[in-house]
Amino acid sequence: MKRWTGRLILLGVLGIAAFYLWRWWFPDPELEIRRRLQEVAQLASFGNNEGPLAKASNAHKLTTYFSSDATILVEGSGHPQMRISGQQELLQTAMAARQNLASLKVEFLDVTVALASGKQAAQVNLTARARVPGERDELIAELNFFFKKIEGDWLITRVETVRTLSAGAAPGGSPPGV
Amino acid sequence: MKDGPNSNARASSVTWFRTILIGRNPRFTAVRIVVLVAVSLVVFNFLLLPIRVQGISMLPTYRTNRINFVNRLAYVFHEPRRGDVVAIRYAGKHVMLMKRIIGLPGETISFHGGRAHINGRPLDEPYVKFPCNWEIPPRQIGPNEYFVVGDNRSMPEAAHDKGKAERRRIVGKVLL
Repeated sequence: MKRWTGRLILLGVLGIAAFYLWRWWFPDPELEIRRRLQEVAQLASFGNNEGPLAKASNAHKLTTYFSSDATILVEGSGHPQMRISGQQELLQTAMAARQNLASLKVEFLDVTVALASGKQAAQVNLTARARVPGERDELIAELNFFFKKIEGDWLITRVETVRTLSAGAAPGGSPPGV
Repeated sequence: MKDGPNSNARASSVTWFRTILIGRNPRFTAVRIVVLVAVSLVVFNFLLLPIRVQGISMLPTYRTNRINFVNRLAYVFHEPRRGDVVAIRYAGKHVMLMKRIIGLPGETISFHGGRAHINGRPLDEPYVKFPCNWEIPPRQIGPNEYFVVGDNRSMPEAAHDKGKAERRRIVGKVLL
């Protein structure tokens, strides 16, 4: 009886270990994308105690989550549209943010991942919340992230703002310029 | 010999404390706690979403940091109405916009001299207390859309989130 119990426990432990090994070698694409988004939010955030080396290192690390030709198009109410093209421009923007702001906290909420057939591309819809100390309001925007599996890594190829409230077009018959 | 009035009083206070803490019938108390937790989870996750108002766009009707609830059953039997203050979701329900519906599906909305016009007629809005100078040309609202805006129109127009919200984005009506 004791022998059987021991064998059963061993079998259970081996099963759990095999499961985690399988997940480590062949990670679920959705979980992998969620994990990477979490890391992007962490790298985009920074505190006022971040040293110059850490600033450069974290800003550079952030760019490695994006493809070399990635495009970021973000806009918020009362803020001009921001367009960033490529890793180099992203690095400059990340460094400029770290130079100009004392700290920034970025969060990604309500993340929904939609994998394309073939599981080589994915679209992610989420709410991004950025808090800047000293500013009364938070920056909130609904974003779409487009991911592509490039050389084994899920890289962000495009980020764009979703217009939660649309302005819409003027009705037909309105005078030009209205 | 050792038992005296002091030990009796102590025993009585312990019983009294125990009664307050877990009730006379602990099993019944446990059942009540389980039911209360289950009901709270259902009510506050699916029926009445607790929210904390942040920002100035709904001043003076709603001040920042006020706690409120979103009634998710408000539009089960009828569609949203003009004047309703509603919660509009972004990607999900963690962060939502709180706005007032002023334009209904199919209508045309515009702002002239800071006053909202529906199908060319000025809209009476007693809840707008601050001066406004917005000029917005006529916009057609789609069949499944509502035009929403905050009550604080003293903000610069560009800085104020407003526009057409799809029906599917309206989570519910703000309760209080």
